Amino acid sequence: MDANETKIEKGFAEGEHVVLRPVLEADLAELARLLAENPLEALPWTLQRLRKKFEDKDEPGLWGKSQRYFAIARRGGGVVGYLKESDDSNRGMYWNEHHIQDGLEDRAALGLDAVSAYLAYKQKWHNPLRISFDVLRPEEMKIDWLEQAGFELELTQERIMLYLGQPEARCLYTWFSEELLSAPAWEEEEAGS
Amino acid sequence: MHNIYTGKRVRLRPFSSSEEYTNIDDKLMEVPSEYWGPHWRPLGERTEEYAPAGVIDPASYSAYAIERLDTGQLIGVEEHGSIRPGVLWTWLGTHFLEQHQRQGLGTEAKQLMLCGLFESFPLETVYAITVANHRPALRGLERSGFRYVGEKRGMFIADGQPVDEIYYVITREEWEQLPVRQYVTRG
Repeated sequence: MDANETKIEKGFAEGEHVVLRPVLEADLAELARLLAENPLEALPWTLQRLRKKFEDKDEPGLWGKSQRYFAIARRGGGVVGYLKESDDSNRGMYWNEHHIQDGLEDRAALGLDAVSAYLAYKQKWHNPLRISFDVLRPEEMKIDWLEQAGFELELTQERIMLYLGQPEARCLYTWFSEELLSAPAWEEEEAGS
Repeated sequence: MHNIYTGKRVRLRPFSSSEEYTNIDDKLMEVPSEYWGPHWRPLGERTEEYAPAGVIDPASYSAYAIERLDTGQLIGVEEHGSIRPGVLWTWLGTHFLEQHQRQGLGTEAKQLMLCGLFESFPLETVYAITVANHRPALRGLERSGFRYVGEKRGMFIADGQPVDEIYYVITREEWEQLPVRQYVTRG
């Protein structure tokens, strides 16, 4: 490879600016820092705590049966965020948390790109029924990404956790599939029966 | 920190042994819930869960025995979720043997659990979650002092159809107004 050639990241999900891919060991230091930045994370993340989780015998690599971490990397290289995806035994239902490094000049563009790329990836490969993201209410930029990507506010839980010393609300933003929107139970409820 | 709360009709207390815990869970799982469907956890998993601290571990999960005061029978399980620094909420749940359901015992069990939670931890809110078609649970939560917050659409599948999950909450201020605080016995 030419020494001047820029490394192009490849991922499961590829947006205009970023890719989403599984976390590699080389990402851990950056990921620990990003986890600590996310106000939704109640744990004080350290590199050691994250490394232990990464080396878990049952679910190594932050890639488990019910919870998986994606690194969000610039297409030209460099981890700038993460997305934590969870699901359970109910088919096609996912709930997530995400974070893009605070203070980046292009944070708004990266965040929207990451959310849109993730949604496209799920639609292409996993036939989701519904996909949700939890966001703390003061995180307006994250809310903006989700709304622009087609997610809508579904549930607000007041006084959920401390943010800068104050009780704050957690908001759930959700994308619904056509299959869910057209399910009989949904129609009955919409009709108010 | 108290771990026994007694009301007028029921008492919450720690399980006295691993056998007591697994036996009631066996009985609860024998009859699948009409609303939540069949549920199974292997014995080994539950025994392991009991071993470290008798299933009372605020950092992860706690389960209390619900005892009927008139007969002394163990009739169900009251449970709550993790309590972590900086996090101002947790959830609670109630499971009763079928023959003791719909007698208003769950209302008191929930209120006793709320006393334990709000008196012992710096929580601001306690949530309870059920499914939209579970009308007895919805009524029971309202009787216990909870109020409707919202729903997650199609989060649960029952009878092959998506069913909404319903969220209820009670705040610390709302709990402070409940009469149970005046008659609960601790310890």
